[in-house]
Amino acid sequence: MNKLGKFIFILITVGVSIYFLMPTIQWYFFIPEKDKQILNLSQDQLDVQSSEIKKKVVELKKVRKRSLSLGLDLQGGVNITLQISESELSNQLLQKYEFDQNKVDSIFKEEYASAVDRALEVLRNRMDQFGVSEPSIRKTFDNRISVELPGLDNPQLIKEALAKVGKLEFHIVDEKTMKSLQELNVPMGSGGYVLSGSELPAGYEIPMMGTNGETIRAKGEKIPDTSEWVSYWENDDFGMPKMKGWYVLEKKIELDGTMVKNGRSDSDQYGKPKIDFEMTSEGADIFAEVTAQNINKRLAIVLDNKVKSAPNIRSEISGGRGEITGDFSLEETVFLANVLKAGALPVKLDIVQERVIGPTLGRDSILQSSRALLYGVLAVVLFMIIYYKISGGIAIIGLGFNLLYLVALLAGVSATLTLSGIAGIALTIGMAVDANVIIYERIREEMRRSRGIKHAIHSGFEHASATIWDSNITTLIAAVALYFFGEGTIKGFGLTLTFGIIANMFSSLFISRLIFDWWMDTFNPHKISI
Amino acid sequence: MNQVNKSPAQDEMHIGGIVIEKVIPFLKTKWLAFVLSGSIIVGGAIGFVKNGGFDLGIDFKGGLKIETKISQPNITINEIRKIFSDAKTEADVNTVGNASDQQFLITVAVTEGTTAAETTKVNNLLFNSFGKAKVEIKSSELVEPKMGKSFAGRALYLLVIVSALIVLYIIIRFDFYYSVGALVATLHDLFIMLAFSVFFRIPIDITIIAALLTIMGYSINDTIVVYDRIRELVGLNKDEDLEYVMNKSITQTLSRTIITVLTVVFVATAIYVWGGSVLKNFALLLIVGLISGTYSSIFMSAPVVYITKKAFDKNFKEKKKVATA
Repeated sequence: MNKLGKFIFILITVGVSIYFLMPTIQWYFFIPEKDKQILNLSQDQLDVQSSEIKKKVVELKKVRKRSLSLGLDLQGGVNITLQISESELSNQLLQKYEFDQNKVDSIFKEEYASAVDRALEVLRNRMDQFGVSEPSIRKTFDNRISVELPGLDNPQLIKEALAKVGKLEFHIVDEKTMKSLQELNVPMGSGGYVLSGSELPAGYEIPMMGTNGETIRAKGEKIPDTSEWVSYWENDDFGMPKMKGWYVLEKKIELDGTMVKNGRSDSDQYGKPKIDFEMTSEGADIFAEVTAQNINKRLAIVLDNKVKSAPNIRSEISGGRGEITGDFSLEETVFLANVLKAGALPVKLDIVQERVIGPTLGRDSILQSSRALLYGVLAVVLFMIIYYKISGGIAIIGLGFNLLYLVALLAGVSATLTLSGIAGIALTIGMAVDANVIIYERIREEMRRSRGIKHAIHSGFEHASATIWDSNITTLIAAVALYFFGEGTIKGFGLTLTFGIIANMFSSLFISRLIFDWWMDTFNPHKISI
Repeated sequence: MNQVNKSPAQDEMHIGGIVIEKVIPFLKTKWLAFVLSGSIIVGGAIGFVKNGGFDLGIDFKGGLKIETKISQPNITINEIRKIFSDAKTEADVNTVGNASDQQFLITVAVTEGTTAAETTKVNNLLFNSFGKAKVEIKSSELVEPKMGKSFAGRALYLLVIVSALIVLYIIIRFDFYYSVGALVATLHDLFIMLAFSVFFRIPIDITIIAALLTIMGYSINDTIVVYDRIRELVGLNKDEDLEYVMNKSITQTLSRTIITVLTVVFVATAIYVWGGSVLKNFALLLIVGLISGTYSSIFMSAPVVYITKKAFDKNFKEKKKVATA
């Protein structure tokens, strides 16, 4: 390649870099904050917007997707890692396969993996319903699920939305047993539920679970086999769930969440929050039948094995529409409605890691790390110019290209810039001049052998490049390993380092070289400033 | 013999304007260097045993860490400690930055199976004591201990993979003896950094692992520059004594080694001073590692190759020392 060819090649790389960087520049410097807000609309809110706005959303999303985004540690947000509750899954399977431990053991792994996949799908649906902007939900190592929610700083509700199973069931209250309890003068709350589970007449005891899940008190023989105790919960004044008492419910699930098509949070005539729901045609038929057969009994609405309310059935309800009332908070009805739409999780998820970064810390981190980056670069620039003079200047030009390529590559793969990523960039800069140092020291050596400047430069670059390849490839190995085997923060750091090394080798071996050659050919100096 | 390449000017080294004559006999000090590094590592090991292991960050050990700013005048750290001891919650409270910033780092140990409710509990303790408006939760992080163990396993796995890949590359590009030298030099830096993490009581977390891995990459880079020069000089002159060639290679690459480490130390120092509290330990250990990496590529990498070659390589012959005189 002649010099013109090389020059054009560099121009092309710069062009491509700028192309990669355009969306990032557009997003951070030209799109007003107000416009970005519309990306936060939930699907429901978006559905009612004009087609113009919908188009805009599509366009904004395109720009967003192609630009460099800030990590949670820089913009604030929540990162949660979830894990399928093994004990729960095991219990579920045991019940399903009639306590055949061997059978459960043999299929456990498979069931676990498929539960993770189902959970991922449900979580994605839920986050859509909740209108969280740009959630990232993915499987991470050891079959865990990592959820990143940028820009969020009060994760309470979202945490619930993530971990709660959201299993909705309708059961008929075992009125016969409840009546006999009432006749035995068991204290009851208004609405007819047992207030305390601890002092029940003989034969009616509530099975208690030991810490290892074993039943330590048997269910009384006076409770029919087709019925069971289920606890009743209400919210206290602070919105925290509190157990109020117990119901005896028939075990049979009359209807469950899968037969519910749609849910909507609403309020009744007194302004109390409730949930309206609509059933699938199958569900509507079953619901009509169940209500027709159980008039004057109570229908318990059970969410995640807790009774939320138990209204009396006054007449057959047909048409497949209904409402769930109870002592709900507004958040809860919104939550429930969304859960009904998104579906239930296969099994409970445990939060095994949670990281919340407040917005101010993110801002501080951006400020501090860019300041460190700036001063670090400044020190390197000054040193190179003082020590290598004009040649040092050439190295700095190379460094400029290096930075351009690095950021462009990161933007090109829509990477996420994290705090450790910025540290990685800073280190890359420190190491970037290393290639130039190897070359310059070599040129100085060659010059001492007094073979003429051109020859010294030529052989300096030649000898140095073998060293540069070897030394950079080993660092590259470490960086690539960090990217592929690392997780989260380490991954970002590895990516920055990898791109940094690639950009660095190109800038020092190709661009600095070209500048040197051009310098020699144009000015033909007798001495070089190195 | 060897007159062509042996003009006296070649055995000079220039740093800035200063001319250092001849070849510095780095290999002479190899046992001293081994003793020095050995004692640092042994010191670290003693500290390790005395402290009962590394200080692990919550990433690996599990726990809850909350960074908070409390905007009530004259809050002391003891008041916050008292809140937790009154609530019978074992918490470790430290100030972050200047005391006047009123920023605190609260670490609470958690047991296996703890879930997110713990965060709410600790947050509420603070809210109830100072009022919600005065407490700003800057960040909080909760790691369940089992998850921590799996993180730790992951990190070890990373260290092993990176070391193995580097060794493999050097075996391909150089030979087995060089890969031993490179591995010893790299592990040396790893152990020195770990020793200093014990001395400074730096909790090992994910960012620290990133620092360790970076230094492994950096140190190997430094070592290879020296090896490359040895290979070049050996190729030029097959009859020369290996010890002499090694000394000469280290001497000739010395200025590069020092200048490069200086530029990276500039940046690491900038991160340490201005980079904020999150990166302070990372930068500190990085500086330790950079110094150790430079030291090991000068005093360790080549000597180890020399010793192993002398002990195991059948083709190794002590040759006449040509030009040290």
